[in-house]
Amino acid sequence: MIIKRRTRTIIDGYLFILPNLVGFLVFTLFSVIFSLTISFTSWDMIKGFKDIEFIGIQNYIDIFKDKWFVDSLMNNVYFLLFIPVQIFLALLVAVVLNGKIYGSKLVRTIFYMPQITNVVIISLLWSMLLNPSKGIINKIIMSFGVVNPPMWLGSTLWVKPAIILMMTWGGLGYNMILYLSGLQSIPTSLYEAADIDGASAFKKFFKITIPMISPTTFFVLIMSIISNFQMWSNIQILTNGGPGTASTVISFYIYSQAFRYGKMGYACSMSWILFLIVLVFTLIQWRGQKKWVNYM
Amino acid sequence: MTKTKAPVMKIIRTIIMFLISYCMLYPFLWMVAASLTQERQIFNYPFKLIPNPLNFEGYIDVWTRTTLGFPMVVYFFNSIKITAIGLAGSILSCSLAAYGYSKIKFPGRDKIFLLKLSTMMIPGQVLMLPNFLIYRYLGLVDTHAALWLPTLFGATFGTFFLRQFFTTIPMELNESAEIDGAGNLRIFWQIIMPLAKPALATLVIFNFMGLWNNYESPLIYLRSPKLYTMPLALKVISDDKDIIKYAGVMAGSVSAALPVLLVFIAAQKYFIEGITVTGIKG
Repeated sequence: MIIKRRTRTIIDGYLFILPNLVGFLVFTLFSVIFSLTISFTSWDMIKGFKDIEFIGIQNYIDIFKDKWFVDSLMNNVYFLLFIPVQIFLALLVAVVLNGKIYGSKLVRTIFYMPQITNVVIISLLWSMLLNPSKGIINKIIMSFGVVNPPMWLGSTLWVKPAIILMMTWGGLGYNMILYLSGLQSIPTSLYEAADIDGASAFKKFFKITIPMISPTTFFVLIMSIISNFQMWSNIQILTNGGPGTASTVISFYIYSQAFRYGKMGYACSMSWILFLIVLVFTLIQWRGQKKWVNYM
Repeated sequence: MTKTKAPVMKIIRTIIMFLISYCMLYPFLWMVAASLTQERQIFNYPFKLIPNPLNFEGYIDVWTRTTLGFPMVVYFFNSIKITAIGLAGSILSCSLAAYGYSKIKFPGRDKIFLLKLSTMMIPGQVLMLPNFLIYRYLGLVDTHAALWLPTLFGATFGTFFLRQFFTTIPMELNESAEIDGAGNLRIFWQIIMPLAKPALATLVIFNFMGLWNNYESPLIYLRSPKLYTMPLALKVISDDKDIIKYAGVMAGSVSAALPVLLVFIAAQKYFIEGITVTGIKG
């Protein structure tokens, strides 16, 4: 049996991508349709298949009446608000690091270390540092004379700042490295021209660096927003969403509803709402980039 | 930043950076120190970063004690097993697919590839639930297969990354090999793969990290303690409020973090390049 060369090529092509294709068809395409379908049902895993009821968009309506969900959304937004600060910090550090120092490779490694560390380790570590009575952070605060330091993970007021502290520490390295590479592509001639005009470092930073680095900022911003909405395992380890609903986020709530309470239908619809939220934010950024991002 | 002639600025910047680096590094230093400190001294203030006396009880405790009926060694080997199988599976399927997408011209190739790429936009939460149900239907919940099987299907990112790299290898190599009578499989294995070593190295490192550190999948799929991986076991140990020994938890953490740290330090260059080229995290 002689197989024509052309046919051989086609067969080869599909064979090579077969595992990839199968995975895509089953675990992506089918899963998406499956998830969408379930989201319109009231499936409760504990009750099993028999009681499945097609309830249309009832899940979606219930979500917005659900206090836990609304709290989660508010918390996500709260965390979002700090992203600009975190990004700015990363830029500042990148700028200092970019200006030639001794041992820059070592510094880069140190900054990136939180990224390669397991979420469990980081969360456990920080929960010890933030221990209200024994942890180092409060001991330092108390040594400054503060009598009642924050209860951190145990306080509805301070749990979110505690998480932000941990996230900033963890995420700085990644953003910094992206900025470092972006900074390298800014032509030094711009700075030299500014020097000739007698511009201060301040002016150079705000008039040259920030505008020229805006493509990187755009990328970092989108990545940060997306990962903000997707994070949940650190919350699960640190606080389980508590105290109360003070630290719960949408992704965590989805996990909890699906795997602790078995409410698959509800959880699926929530995941689609999450998808829409992320899409909206990304689109807003995408449209907005014409206004503030300079592409060279 | 303009190059400055005076080393004074360089020294000032170095000092600033090292101060900030020390603050960044402190939690890790604390972790290592705490793992070697006597239990009752752990929360001392001011905390001595070099414990006196050096105390290995934490390590002995966490490695010999049985958590949920099994010693840490079991969890360690579970992690190794899943990481090893997952690495092999993902590198193989990603590179095969990348070769197909870049070196073989077949109808529908680019459309399929673009479709795959667009799925990267879908958040993990959306797929997490139905995929769990699929595995449940296949009877694969609470097995290790549920953890490494997904890697056999070629992660979109790895495939994309390798495909971009493969396209930089000139088609002439393919063409001359075909003239010599080599089939696609041989070209793939004997010509393209050896040339792709740097890209493969980067992929291996990122996949290793992702697999070793994975906490979410074992959390969702595993139910029997004997199958737990290190991150999951660590979390369970730390939950044990009655018997919890902080030194032990920190010792366990250091043990779990060490393999990745060593790989990272050895292969730093690939890491940094990998992130800046593709933007992927760990």
